[in-house]
Amino acid sequence: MLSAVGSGAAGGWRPPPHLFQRLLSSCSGVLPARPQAAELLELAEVEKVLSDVRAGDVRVFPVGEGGLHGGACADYMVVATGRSDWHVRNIAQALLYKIKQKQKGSDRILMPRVEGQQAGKWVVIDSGSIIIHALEERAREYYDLESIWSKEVSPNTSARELETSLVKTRHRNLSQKPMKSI
Amino acid sequence: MIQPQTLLNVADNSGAQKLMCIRVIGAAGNQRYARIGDVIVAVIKDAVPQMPLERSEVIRAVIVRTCKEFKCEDGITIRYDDNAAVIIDQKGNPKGTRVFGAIAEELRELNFTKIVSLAPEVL
Repeated sequence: MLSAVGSGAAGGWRPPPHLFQRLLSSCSGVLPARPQAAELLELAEVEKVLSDVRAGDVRVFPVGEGGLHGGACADYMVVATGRSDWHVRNIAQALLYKIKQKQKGSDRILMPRVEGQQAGKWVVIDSGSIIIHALEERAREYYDLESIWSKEVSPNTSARELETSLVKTRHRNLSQKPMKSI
Repeated sequence: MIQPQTLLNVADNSGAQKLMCIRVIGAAGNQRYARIGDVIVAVIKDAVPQMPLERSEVIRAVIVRTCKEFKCEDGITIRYDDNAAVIIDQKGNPKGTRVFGAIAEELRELNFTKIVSLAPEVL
């Protein structure tokens, strides 16, 4: 299955100049544009909580400026495995508790966005610049998130594949008839 | 502006190729249109063989691209070349493992961060 090359989405549509600003502003101004993220939870604290709750196979993927999405989505993607549905929900609860504790005493508590809490197979905690994915073992195998975020230069590689695939081939005359012209 | 009988492309690798919308979730009296981020009930019209999803199966999907322009909060208008959806299950998890094409950032606010994180390009 080819990726965006064959999808036809926005084919031939170039982003107008004012859209570049939006892309640039979301790329370059990650920290000032999302001030809550730095205060919600730091990467080190996330790792500590995950090791406390005994989440398996914790991996951190930096998808910031040089990575996938051009930094528009987030700075870091953290992936952790839970041994069962209940464990996955527990991981999410532990992270939320840590965030609440950190903001104790302030007037407003900023909570991150949590998805999939009821189902338990894949819980996503979105705190702006850090997105934490807690998956069950089988879900992690199924989605295989590492391979998405490990290859950073995917747009460049697909262009290279296109160049090599458009190679001029010599027509092989496998029929009995003689060729009329070369 | 997706309504019942609309044909949509599928933007993931779940096995289906074309969907036909049969209902917009949350519409009143079947009269409302679906936009980016709305969940629809659709039937699979065309599918790749030997995949878990087959033709004429009724599934839920979330719309990720529309030909009708879509206005973001900061004033930017995005208009794609086709209508496309990503197949999800009852709980909101995507059925496929990869998503193709550009995905709008607005899906993140509508609780589809999983699809946004699978996307190759986020607008």
